[in-house]
Amino acid sequence: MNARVRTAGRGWRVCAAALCLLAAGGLGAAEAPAPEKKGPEPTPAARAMAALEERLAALRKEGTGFALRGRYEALLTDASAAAEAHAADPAAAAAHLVVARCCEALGKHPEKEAAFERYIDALMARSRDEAAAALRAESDALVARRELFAATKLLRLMLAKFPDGPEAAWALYRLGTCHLLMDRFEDAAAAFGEVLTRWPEGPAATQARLRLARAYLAQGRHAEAIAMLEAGLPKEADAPLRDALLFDLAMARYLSRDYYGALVGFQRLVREAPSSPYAPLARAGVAKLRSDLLNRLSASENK
Amino acid sequence: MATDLGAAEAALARRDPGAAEAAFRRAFEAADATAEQRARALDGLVAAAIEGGRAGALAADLEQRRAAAPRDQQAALLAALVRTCKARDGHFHAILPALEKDTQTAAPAARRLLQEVQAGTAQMERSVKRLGAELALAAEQQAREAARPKGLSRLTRPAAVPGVGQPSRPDYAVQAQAYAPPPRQRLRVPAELPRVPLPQVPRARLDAPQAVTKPPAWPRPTSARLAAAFFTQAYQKATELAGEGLVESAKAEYATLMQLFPDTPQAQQAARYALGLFQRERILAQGGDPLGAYLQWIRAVLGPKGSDYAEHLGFRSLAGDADPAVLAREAEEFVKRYPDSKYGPGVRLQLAVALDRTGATPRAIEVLQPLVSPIDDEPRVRAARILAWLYLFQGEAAAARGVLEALAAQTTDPDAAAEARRTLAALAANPLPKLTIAEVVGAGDPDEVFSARLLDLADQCLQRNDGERAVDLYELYLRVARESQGFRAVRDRIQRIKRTGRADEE
Repeated sequence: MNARVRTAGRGWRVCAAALCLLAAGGLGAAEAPAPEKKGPEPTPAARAMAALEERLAALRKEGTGFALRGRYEALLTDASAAAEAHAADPAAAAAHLVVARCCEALGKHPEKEAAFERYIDALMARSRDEAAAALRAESDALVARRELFAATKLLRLMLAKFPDGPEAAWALYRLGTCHLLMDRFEDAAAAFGEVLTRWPEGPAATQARLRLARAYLAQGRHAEAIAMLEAGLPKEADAPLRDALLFDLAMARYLSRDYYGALVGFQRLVREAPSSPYAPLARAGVAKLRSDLLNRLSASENK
Repeated sequence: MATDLGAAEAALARRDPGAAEAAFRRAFEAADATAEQRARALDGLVAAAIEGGRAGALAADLEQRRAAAPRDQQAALLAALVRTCKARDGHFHAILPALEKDTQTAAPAARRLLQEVQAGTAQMERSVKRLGAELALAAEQQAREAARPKGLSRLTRPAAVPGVGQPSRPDYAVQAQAYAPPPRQRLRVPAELPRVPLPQVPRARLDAPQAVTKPPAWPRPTSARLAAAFFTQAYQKATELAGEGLVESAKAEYATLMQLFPDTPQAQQAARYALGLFQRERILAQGGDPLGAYLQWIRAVLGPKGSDYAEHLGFRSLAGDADPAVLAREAEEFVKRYPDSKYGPGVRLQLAVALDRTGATPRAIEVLQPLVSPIDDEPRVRAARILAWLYLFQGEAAAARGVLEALAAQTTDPDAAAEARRTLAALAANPLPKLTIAEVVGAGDPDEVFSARLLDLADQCLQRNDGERAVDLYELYLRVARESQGFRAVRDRIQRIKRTGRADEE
């Protein structure tokens, strides 16, 4: 019934468009407007994809409620058919994306992942950069929604598609942060360690170092955290994130009860980066260190 | 002095009350006797006098001494006088006027004693009255029995009322009949009795006599029993009063015990329980100055003589939450009052830390310096460690090195020596920068200041969309700020951020 109504509607829209075109042609003949420069005529596949995307956008604007399931199912059927019909066309990537989004809205996650992978394959055929950007955007969206398990699967897919280069470094770093958020410290440490091993001077290296310190501290591996932070401390005073590294190093020493090392670390941070946002924190750290130490030493009589 | 007391107690133990009394009297009158020794001597003196039957003379002697004694000895002398009078007279009546007179001079010890004695006297009077009534009844019955004529039954007795004749014998009077026992049967004894073997009983073996352990000389059974009984009573009353919310009255119960039996284990226990009442008040009041209140109370209860143990209890239990200025003031007072107390080093450490917190670090160093030569026991080791750290926080690395080297060389504590050596090695490998940033944070609890700054920085990172760094700092907060105010709410917020990526609840 619905299909018939939709087909009838579509037929009516086509007739109306034809009538409009005819009317426009008649008017044009009457007024003889100046000829316009037109771009290349969109292919039928492109038009079909645009229509699918338009429908998807309208549906997503309405939401993903239960009442909309039928319309999502219909769009999914149409998008699947379009993807099959235009499989050879690079524009078919959009149909795979529409399928993936519909599956996502319908809660069909394995189907969604398969469709998204087909979408990425289609994009790769067109442009690797576009594929990488789509993977980054999708994984960021998943992490923002804290769909961390799905994000890790997508990042592994990205690593498979881009086994080397900056995309791989980014994917590995992001995989590590996902593991950290999931409290999988061993996996996180492995991912960050790989980033530091393969791209020690890369743009993600300092961030990876800070996250790796967090993973080590969460596991109680204070000595490894201190050694790693000390090794990665840049020599240049104006190196980015140097103050954060100095602060984390002092805190790692404090947590490992190396109070003298922590005191020296806090003082070094204040001396070398006095305008850093970490400097007031380091001053308070010294005061806390002093208070903790004296409390501990004077209170041990009570034990 | 200690040997005199020991000799006196030995004399008392071998039942030589004359020698014991003389020795205790010498110890009591010695000019260099401490308050504790004087109390022991007075206690022994009373015991020896009672043992020797000289309670009357001692009572008169104690009366004279009370007239000339300072106020801090009045409570002990009064308690001794009560015991002596009871031993002399067998009752408390004689001491009542003296106690009533002392009560008028607002002596709390005398008031308590008077109440106890009055209670005891009333009980005794009731007992004596009951005994008198019983004796009178017994005497009356005895007299009635004695007045009754002997050998006459109810029937043969002459008529009590004249004119009424004797009752006649009834007809059914029993007639006595002779009764002959049956003849005895003769038993035939066999010529030879069968032999029955006797049971074999193991013979007792004489063991070597076992050594008898004599009870210790102190506390003597009399005073210990008295103190224990009084303590039980005071504890029950105080618990009841505290349960009804009458905390001040409960404290007064313990105060009486401490005044009556100073320097006894019961007094120490009473001080501990009283301290518990102060701690309870602190929890209920959510603040205040429990340390100052407790020390003021204990000094008022025990007078100028005081008790270093009871005051030290306050420092041990209440110093953690005390205001550093108050703690420094009270600790200085303690050090002045009890310069030779065995709790002195511990209180000095707390004094130094409190002075450092109030910003008087040089004065704190002055307080600690006498404690670190030599570094031979545990409080001195701790003093040396604190002193070294104070030097480090002041930026005086050379002075810190000197203290740490002395600590490593002199202490017998292997852990402390190892830690000192580690710090020395760290000092050599990584010299302390000259910059000192100790007092830059300003007023406020350092833990709270650090926690607040850490949280602020993390929130700033979150607002800059640097969520990963924000989570780094939040994780650090969860590790180091467990004791800070509002920790639970912040922890829940951090968990929410980690779980949903958003700080708000929706």
